[in-house]
This record gives sequence, structure tokens and C-alpha cells, in this order.
Amino acid sequence: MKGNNRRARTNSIVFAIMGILAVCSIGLTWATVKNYLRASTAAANFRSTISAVTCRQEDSKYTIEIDLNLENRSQWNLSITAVRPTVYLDGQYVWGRNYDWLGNPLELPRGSERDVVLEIEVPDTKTEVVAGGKEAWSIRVSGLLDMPRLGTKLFVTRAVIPLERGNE
Amino acid sequence: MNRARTVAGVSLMGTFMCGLFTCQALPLLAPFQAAQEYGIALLFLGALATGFLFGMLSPSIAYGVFAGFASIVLGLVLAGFMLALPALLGIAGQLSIMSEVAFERALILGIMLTPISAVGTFIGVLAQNHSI
Repeated sequence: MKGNNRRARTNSIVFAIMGILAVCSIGLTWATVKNYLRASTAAANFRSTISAVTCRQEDSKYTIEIDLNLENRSQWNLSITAVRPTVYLDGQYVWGRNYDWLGNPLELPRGSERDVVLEIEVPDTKTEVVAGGKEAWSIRVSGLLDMPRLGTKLFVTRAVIPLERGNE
Repeated sequence: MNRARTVAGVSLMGTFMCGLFTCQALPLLAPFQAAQEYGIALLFLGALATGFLFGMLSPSIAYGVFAGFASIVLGLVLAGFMLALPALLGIAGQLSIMSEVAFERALILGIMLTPISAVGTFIGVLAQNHSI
């Protein structure tokens, strides 16, 4: 009888501890998920699009220019620390270039929009590929976006855009 | 131990584990510095505490291990639901906040936590026998 009473009291205490832990955990989950939803909303309001691609020829050297549009419609100030455009022709890799802005990040204040021109100089080994290629160009731009609290996040933009061949 | 109490215990401890799993998956978004830095350690302690409390509830080790495992699975399912909330609410852009690695890490931790919880159950049963 005494043992049963003691067991019932222990069970009540254990359930009380379980309840307290669950309530604390609900608070923790709510605070974390609230931050997560805010961050997700900010991320959803960031957009990068490739608006145009131009190929220039100077002294038998080709330079590909990619117009990248960056839009930050979120409530957070964002910045871009690195970008890598890559060019594919007829499904094959042509060339890429790394832009490292870690020392001087490209700032994107909230509600702002910026246009950036990325240049890729095609090496001599790829000149024939570019000269003989058709219009089936595809561009991939990946970059690192610095977000408050979350740190660096990767974004990727792909586009198949008709090429404007200039100075040919 | 009747079924209603088992369900209540698993529900409470599943909710508790959900909070720890969510903090572990999103350490930078957790409200407390401790949760950010020691997320995995807290998760292990949480599993140990879960097993201990179930061990205190019943003298059966098998019951405690089963209830601990059920709480961990419930915690994982609830945390998965929390992590999928932006997609469920239609908040999704080019940028992925949640990495697949975090999901995989949570699953691996879920598997690893069951024996930890079993150790807690064993300690709980011993403590209960000692007190009675």
C-alpha cells in the first residue's frame, strides 16, 4: 500500500517534469521556427535573373558579357560575396570565371535592385568552339549570398538566352 | 502502465524532442546561444532524460526503451514538419535555407539516440528500484 502510494507520487512527479519539459520545448520550437520563417521569407524575396548575354570579338578573342539582375525585396540587408558565371554551348562547357568580392561585398540594401555585368574572356583553346557554335547557349550563374544570422547561402540561376553577337 | 499514460508520456517527450531536433537542424536560428553551440550535446542529454523519465515511470526496461524510441520518432516527425513549414506555406524561392545535410544529420542522430535513451531507461529503472 505504502509502495503503491509512493509509486503514484513518483509517476505524478515524472509527468509534471515531462509537462514542464514539453512546454519549454514548445517555446524553443516556436522561437526557432519564427526566425526560420522570417529567414525563408527574406530568401524568397531575393531574386537573381540573367537578362542578356552578349558575345564580343576583339582581335580574334571572344569576350562573353552576362547581364545579371539582382533584386532584394526582403526586409533584410543582403550582400553578395562571390559569383561564378559558367557558359555552355550546345550542351558542352565552354568557360567560367570566379568573381570574389569577399573583401568588398556587393551590397543589396532592402528593397533594392542592381544590375551587374559579368565578363568571361574565352581562352584561345575555346575560340573555335565559340566561333563554330550555334545559338544554343546556356548560362549558369551561381553565387554566395550573405544573410544576417544565417551566414552564407548558395544561389543558382540558369538561363537559355539568345546570344547577341557584337563586333563580328 | 496503462495505454493512456504511455500515449501521454510519448506525446510529451516527443514534443520535447521536437524542440531539440529543430534547434539542432537550425542552430543559427535558435534563440539561445547555448542551443546554437551545444545543439547536439543537448539532444543527447534530452534522449538520456527521456529514457530516464520513462524508466522512472515503469519497472520494465523493454517498456522504457520502446517509449523512448517512440518519443524520438515522434520528435523527428514533428521536427520534419516544422522544417517543411516554409514549403507548406508556399514561402520558397531560389535560395534554399535548409540543407539536405541537416535532414540526414537529424535522421542519423535519431538512430543514434535510441541506445542513449535505453541507457537512460536503465538508469531510471535502477533509480526507481533503489528509491522503492
